[in-house]
Amino acid sequence: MEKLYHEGLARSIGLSNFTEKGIEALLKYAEVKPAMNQIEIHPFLPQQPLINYCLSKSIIPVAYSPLGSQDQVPGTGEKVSTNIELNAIADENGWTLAQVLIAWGLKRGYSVLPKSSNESRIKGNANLVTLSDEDFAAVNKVAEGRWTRFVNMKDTFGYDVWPEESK
Amino acid sequence: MRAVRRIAVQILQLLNRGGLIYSTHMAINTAQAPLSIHEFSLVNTHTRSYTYSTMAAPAVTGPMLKMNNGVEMPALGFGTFANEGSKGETHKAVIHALNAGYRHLDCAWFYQNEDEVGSGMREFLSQNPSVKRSDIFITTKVWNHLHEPEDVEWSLKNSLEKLQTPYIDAFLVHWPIASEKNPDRTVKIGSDGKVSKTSTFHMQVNLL
Repeated sequence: MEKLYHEGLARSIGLSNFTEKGIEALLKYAEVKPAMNQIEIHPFLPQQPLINYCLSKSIIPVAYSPLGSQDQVPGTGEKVSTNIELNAIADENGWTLAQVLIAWGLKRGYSVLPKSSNESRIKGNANLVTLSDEDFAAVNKVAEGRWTRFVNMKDTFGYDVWPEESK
Repeated sequence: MRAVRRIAVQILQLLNRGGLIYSTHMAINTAQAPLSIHEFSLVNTHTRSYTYSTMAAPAVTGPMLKMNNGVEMPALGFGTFANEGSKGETHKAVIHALNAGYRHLDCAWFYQNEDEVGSGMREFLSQNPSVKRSDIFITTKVWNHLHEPEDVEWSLKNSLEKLQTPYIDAFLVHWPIASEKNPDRTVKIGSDGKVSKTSTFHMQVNLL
C-alpha cells in the first residue's frame, strides 16, 4: 500500500473500521501515516473517543452511515430517522433530518458520506446548512450515552472487530 | 439578524434547488453561507453572467479538510454503496450527485459498482468541461481477501480501471481483517458458509 502511495497511484492511504487499538498497532510500523479512518458515525453511535483519538494522531475521521441507516436499535426498536428530538430540530428550521445530521457531522469536524439513489434526496443532502449552537447541543443531547452500531459484519466474517460490544 | 440570515439562506437554497444558480467556478457553500447582502448580490450577478448550457449546480464541498499528507478532501462526500442496487442505478446516482455539486465520491472494490461510478463520472465530465477529474476526490478500498502486497496492488489497479481514472485520491483498508482468496481472486468461503480463515492484525504487516 505504501508503495502504491509512493508511486502516486494513491494520493493518500488510510483505514476503515479500525479501532483505537488497531490504529495504535499499525502506527508502530507504518512508514506512511494513515490519512483517514472511515467509521460508522451518527447520533446513535457518536464515536467521540475514537474521533478524539484519530484527531490527536492527525487522522481525519470519515463518517459512513451518517444518516443512521434504517435499522432499529435492538430491544427498543428506535430508529435515528424517527427520533422525535432530531426531527423536531429539522422541522423547526424547515430542513430535512438528513440536512441536520450532515450539518452535525460537519460541525464536529469530520467528513460525512450521505448515500442515496433518489435524485431529490441527493440534491437535498447537498443543501448544506449550519446548526445553531442550541441545535448542535440538542443533537449532542440525543447522542449522549448512546452506542448502537448498525454495521458489523461479524457473522459474515466469523470475526468480530468489536467483541466488547457484543457482550 | 438571525431571521434575516435564515431567510437569506432559504432564498439561496431555493435558487440552488431550482437550478437557478449555475456558477461552475464559484463554490456556494451554504455551510459557510455567503450571507451578507453584498455577497448575496454577487451571487445574483454571477447568475446573470452564466453562459454554460449544463444544469450542473456549483461545487458543494463543505469545509475542505487538510489531511496529514497535505492533500485536501471535501468534507461532504457521496456514498456509492448500493444495497440491492439494480444495474445502472449507481451510474445515475453518481451523475445526480456530481450535478448536485458533490466533489467527493466514496467507493470500494467490494461494492461491485465501480464501473458505474467510473462511467457516471466520465459522462458528467464530458458534459461539464469546466470540471476536471482533479476537482473530484475519489476514495476506494481494498477488501479483506486481497491483503497480500501483490493482491493490494492488483485490487487498486482493478479499481482504477473500473473507475476510469489513472490515480485514486484515497485508498483504504476496508476492514482490519484478512481472509483467504480463491485463485481467481474471489472471496474464499469455508464449508461453514463463512469467510475462510479470517485472521486479523498480524496480516496488516503484509498489507503495508
